[in-house]
Amino acid sequence: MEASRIEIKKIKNIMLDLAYRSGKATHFGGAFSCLDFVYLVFNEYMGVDFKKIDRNYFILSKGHTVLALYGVLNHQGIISDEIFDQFLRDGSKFISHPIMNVEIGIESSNGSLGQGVSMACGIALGLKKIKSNKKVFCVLGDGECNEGSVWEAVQFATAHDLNNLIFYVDVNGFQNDGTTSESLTELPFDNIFNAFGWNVKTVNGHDYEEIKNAIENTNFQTQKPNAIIGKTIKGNGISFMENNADWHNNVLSEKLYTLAKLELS
Amino acid sequence: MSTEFFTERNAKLLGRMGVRAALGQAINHLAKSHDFQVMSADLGRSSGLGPFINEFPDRYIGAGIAEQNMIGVAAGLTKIGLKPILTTFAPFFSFRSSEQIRMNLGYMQQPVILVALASGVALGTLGNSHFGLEDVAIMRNIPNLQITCPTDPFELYKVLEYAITDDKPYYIRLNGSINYPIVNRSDYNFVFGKHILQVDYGNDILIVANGSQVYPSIRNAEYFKELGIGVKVLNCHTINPFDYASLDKYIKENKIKKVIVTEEHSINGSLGSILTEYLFSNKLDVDLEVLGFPCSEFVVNGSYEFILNNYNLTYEGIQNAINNLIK
Repeated sequence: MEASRIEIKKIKNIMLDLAYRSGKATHFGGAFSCLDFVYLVFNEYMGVDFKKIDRNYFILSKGHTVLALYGVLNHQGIISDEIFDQFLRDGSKFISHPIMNVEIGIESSNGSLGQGVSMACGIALGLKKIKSNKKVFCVLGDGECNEGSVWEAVQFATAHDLNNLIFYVDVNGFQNDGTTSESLTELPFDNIFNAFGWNVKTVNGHDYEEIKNAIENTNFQTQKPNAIIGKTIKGNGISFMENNADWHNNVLSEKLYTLAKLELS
Repeated sequence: MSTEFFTERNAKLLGRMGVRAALGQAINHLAKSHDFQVMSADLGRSSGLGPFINEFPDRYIGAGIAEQNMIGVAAGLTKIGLKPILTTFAPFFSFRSSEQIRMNLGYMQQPVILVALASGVALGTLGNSHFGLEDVAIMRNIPNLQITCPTDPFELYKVLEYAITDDKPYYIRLNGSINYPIVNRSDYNFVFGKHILQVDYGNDILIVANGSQVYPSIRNAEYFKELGIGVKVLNCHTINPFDYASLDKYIKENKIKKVIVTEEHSINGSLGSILTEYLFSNKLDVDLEVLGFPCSEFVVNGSYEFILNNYNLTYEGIQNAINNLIK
């Protein structure tokens, strides 16, 4: 528990350094809310060989939080430190949304919300077709669930018994325009996924062991797909970013960068 | 294997049964020698896939009435090395799912094959909601997408076989209904991306056509040959990448001065636009007549034949266009 907390702090430092060195607006809030899950998946389940087909997969459907993925992949030694000179620079492959680069763990190009979920379903179905017992992890946002295509994917997963599929809904309660209820509505995700015929587990999305237990205790013997509902804090760990819609996408000043780094020390 | 498909008897049979039966039989035939999956958005049996679904139930994936998700799922299947062929009506790919196609087939270049049924106005009385009037115009603007419009059952087979063995994404648009026109009655040499000069009776007029318009164009070339007027018919089955060399050869080199474009599509954004841009950028002094649907209004209601006739996309309509050009 303590070990994972230390590693996640290290990754948050990487993320702040990446963003500050770029000097550009970065999606901090959602990246810090889903980071614990992204780190856990790569730390426990992903390995480093992304060339082979028969393996676990990770899709960041809420692609604007790619800062978390870059941070984790750099921390795991999969993306080299060259990213510090490239993030958000002209001509770079490391921009504000993932660009598919399978060899370094970026499975898909995302940015248009409600699409990664469908690809995750396809990968899960494909793995079953080749008789693999590997799993697909897909991170989606609570705001992203406004998109109708998310629910097309959810029905598809139910219909095709995709029990090797794990959706992680990062419920931080915010989206671009403010809280989810201000923007549209706050959804009862546990009831909804239950009603669609999924296994559902609600966890504290900042508790490594609780998330891990939810994954490990998932009953893959049933035919149901799996939803983990992560209750999270937008901008988690940085006081001025927490539950503050201004930090959905913003620029770090030198003063705030120093303050944030201090809070993580 | 493919030789038994390309018989005159089968051409006639598939012509009579129509484009969807031709698609179904081609897929069923190819399934015996090629490894692929088939998906449809609740139009499996309507796509002529009944025999395939019966014979290969494990290779058919129902997506429900959810085209956007179907595209993403198909892209996911390609990640596992599977090759999906998808069917739905043209507007449900090109409009409803255009962004999914842009991301998955364009941006990520996942080798998914889309077969757009009833592209054009084949669905007749189902109306404009079901027509593919502008699908090429949209799909052509997505980088990395191969776009074709085969002219008959055998060309459909050839295009499908090529797409299945290639590693690129495809949009295959199908004109036609029952009584699909037959241009080819035996096996022939088909090269993806290389247009076919179907008939060459002289240099008075070049007809540029594809899909449903190739057959009536050939019949007109034969009609005008008897009158001493030389007509060429160029079958532009591949729209992207476009075979501009064929235009250089048959317009520039032959010093053609009159060109007719006929296509079951909006006059904007497909062959009509391609030819207009080509002639202008090459500073060619050529009279051009484009037959197709207007983009200023939705098309009239009625049967497939009635609508085609209303926009001169018929043997008679093309004949009138030729007569006007040679006046």
